[in-house]
Amino acid sequence: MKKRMNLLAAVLLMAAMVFACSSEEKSLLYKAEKELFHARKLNRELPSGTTNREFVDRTVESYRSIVDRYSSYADSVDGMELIVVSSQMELAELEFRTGSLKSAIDDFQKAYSISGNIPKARANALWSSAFISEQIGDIPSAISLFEKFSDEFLGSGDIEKTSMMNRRYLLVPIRLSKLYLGPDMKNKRSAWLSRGEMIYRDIISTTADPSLLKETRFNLVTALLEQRKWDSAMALLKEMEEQYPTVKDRPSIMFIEAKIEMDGFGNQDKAASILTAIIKEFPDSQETVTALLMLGQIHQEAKRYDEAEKIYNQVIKEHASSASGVVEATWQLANISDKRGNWVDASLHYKSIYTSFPTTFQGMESPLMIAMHFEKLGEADAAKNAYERALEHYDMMTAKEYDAGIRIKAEEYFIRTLSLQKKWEKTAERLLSLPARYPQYPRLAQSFLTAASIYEKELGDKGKAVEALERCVEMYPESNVSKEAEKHINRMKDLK
Amino acid sequence: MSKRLIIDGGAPGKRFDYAGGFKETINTFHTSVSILKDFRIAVPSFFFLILHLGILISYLSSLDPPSSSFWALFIGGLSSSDLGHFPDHIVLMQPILDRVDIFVEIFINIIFQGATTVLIYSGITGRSLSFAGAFRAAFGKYLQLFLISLFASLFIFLVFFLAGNFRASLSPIAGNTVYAVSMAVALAIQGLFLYTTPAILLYDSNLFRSFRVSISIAWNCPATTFFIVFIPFILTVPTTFISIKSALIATRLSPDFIIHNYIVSSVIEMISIYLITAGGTVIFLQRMKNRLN
Repeated sequence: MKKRMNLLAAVLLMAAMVFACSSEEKSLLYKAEKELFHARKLNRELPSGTTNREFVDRTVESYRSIVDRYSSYADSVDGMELIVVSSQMELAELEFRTGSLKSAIDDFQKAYSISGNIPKARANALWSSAFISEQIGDIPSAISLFEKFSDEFLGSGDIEKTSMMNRRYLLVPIRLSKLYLGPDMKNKRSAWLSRGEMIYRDIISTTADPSLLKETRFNLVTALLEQRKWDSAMALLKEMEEQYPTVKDRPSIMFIEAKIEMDGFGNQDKAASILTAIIKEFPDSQETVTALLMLGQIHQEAKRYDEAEKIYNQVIKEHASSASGVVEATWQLANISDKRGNWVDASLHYKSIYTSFPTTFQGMESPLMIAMHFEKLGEADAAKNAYERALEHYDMMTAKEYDAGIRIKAEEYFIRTLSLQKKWEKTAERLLSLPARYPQYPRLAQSFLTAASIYEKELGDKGKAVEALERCVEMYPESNVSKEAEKHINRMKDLK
Repeated sequence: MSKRLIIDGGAPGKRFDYAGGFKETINTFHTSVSILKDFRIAVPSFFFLILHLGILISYLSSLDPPSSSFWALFIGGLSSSDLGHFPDHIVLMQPILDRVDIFVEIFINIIFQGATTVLIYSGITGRSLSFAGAFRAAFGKYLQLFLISLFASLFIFLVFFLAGNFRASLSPIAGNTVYAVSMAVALAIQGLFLYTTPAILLYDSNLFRSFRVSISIAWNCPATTFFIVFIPFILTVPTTFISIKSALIATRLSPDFIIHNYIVSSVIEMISIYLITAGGTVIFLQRMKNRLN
């Protein structure tokens, strides 16, 4: 019996030794990998476009707990930094995907701050936070973040590495030039375009990678066009025509040439002949629909309405799969019918646009075009009905199933419709409701100022105006908008 | 101990009586399960299960060299660091333990099967059960048992190897047919070797004689031999199928599921091996004209 007990003890001891073989450090990394695997599984299982916060929150929490639990081991355990940074990046990406845009920015910035040894993640995190800032209309932050990106990743010695991470990073100078919009920002805008031009020329002179070379040449053309350097752009395009004679590249090059002829040299006929060549020689290319639309525009501007209509109908008939092409062609047909006084046809086109393509710019504009037409004619009842239908349409589009960007657009149109009807009280109320309903979009802070202006100027109610401005200060402290609001509050109090 | 064996071939013309063979197999399994009233008969099978679970635990706790280096040896081109990460550690578990199992089957499982055979014999004949004696007898015939196990495994490996090579050049349907045929041939080989263990241990036969006896019994009662091998095989099919898809399951569903499947598969394998061993022993004893005593 004693012998058997000894044998059992020996077996147990051996088992314990086997267990002890795994070091604590390794187990920690293994545990972290296991938790990341489960978080990824939850992420994968989330239905696309899910609005179920419970599922999303559970997934977010699983990523966050990895970061919280293992961040302190990032330096001491080999491989742990990658796990922590991956979790942080995936968490931010998930938040972006599920519409938590402000949290996504914060988490991308956190990923940026912890990914010092992983340049690819660091670049992605910084670029993403800048991109989302731009998306939510926080332009000052977007500019600051893109500039930070440029400083860190677009220096003369970094460009090659950066281009290998992601080619879109090379477009940051052009992106920045577009963010500097105001008239007082012209210098900044030109500076960034020059910087972009310099970077692209540098890449072209040094790289041997044919696909990077081609992409950079197109980027350089864009930078030149933005700077209105038409001759340089045209000269580069002529070189590219010889370098890239393929069916895929030629129509793109020809299309830009047509744009330069039209916008730069004012040569509409030359532009039209190039566009016609694209349509004839490359009927299946990506540029064909755009070429047709641009050709239609040239005819329309020259008041050759029959030719223009023929081209727009060709787009609708032959390129039905291009939704953006069809909607633009229909919109232009409506404009032509309206100009020619054929209102029945015009209204049918407008209706077809807002029923078939409600989320497009033209789909948003169409109901108002109908209402404004009746108002112009002085038909008050018809105009009132049309405005009511427009409001119903926009209200329907603010429903939850639409993307937040579309819902906000619909809100703006709803407010515009109310203001066109001079329903100022309702306009102001709707404006004041927006910031609370869309807390992820700081640009909606502006609604408080607009509402205050309506109360003050249209309704003569300074009390409510001040109330609106005070809500703005309370909701967005320290922001530029709240500083503006405080100025107005002081002004109105002084007036009293 | 050596006795002259007289094999009862059954009534002429009834060799391929599959209904009768099936009935006889069910009766045999009934007897095999009934004798488990004496729990000691099942102890070697439980040892087999404990061994499998021990291997599993040992694998799961090996994340670092040198223990992980040992497991990495079973798959060519694998380094010990590959085994230290999740889910690779779990995904690689099935192919590694499948290869370990081949060694366990050839070198170790024969001891448990041999001890079970001796204990069943004692249980059926009403002899006093000596647990230590059963293992002593199995160890005493280790070389013969090992060689029989080695030959059977080599034949089966050869069948699957040839079928695998042949399948590569075939369409999926033809390939699956070849796989089914190779499986049937493997079962037939297992049937031919079924009675070697009782012949060696209970009748003190040498290697060649045990094989001849086994073939004679299998030849004379092919239907029963077929069902004794086939029914336990069917029991293992679901877990075997899952283990074939283990990498997919690990990455798509849950890696832990592979561990659960391995445990369930070990339990089913234990039952399956017990039924084959006990079934073979019962039929072997029934086919003896002379009583062993």
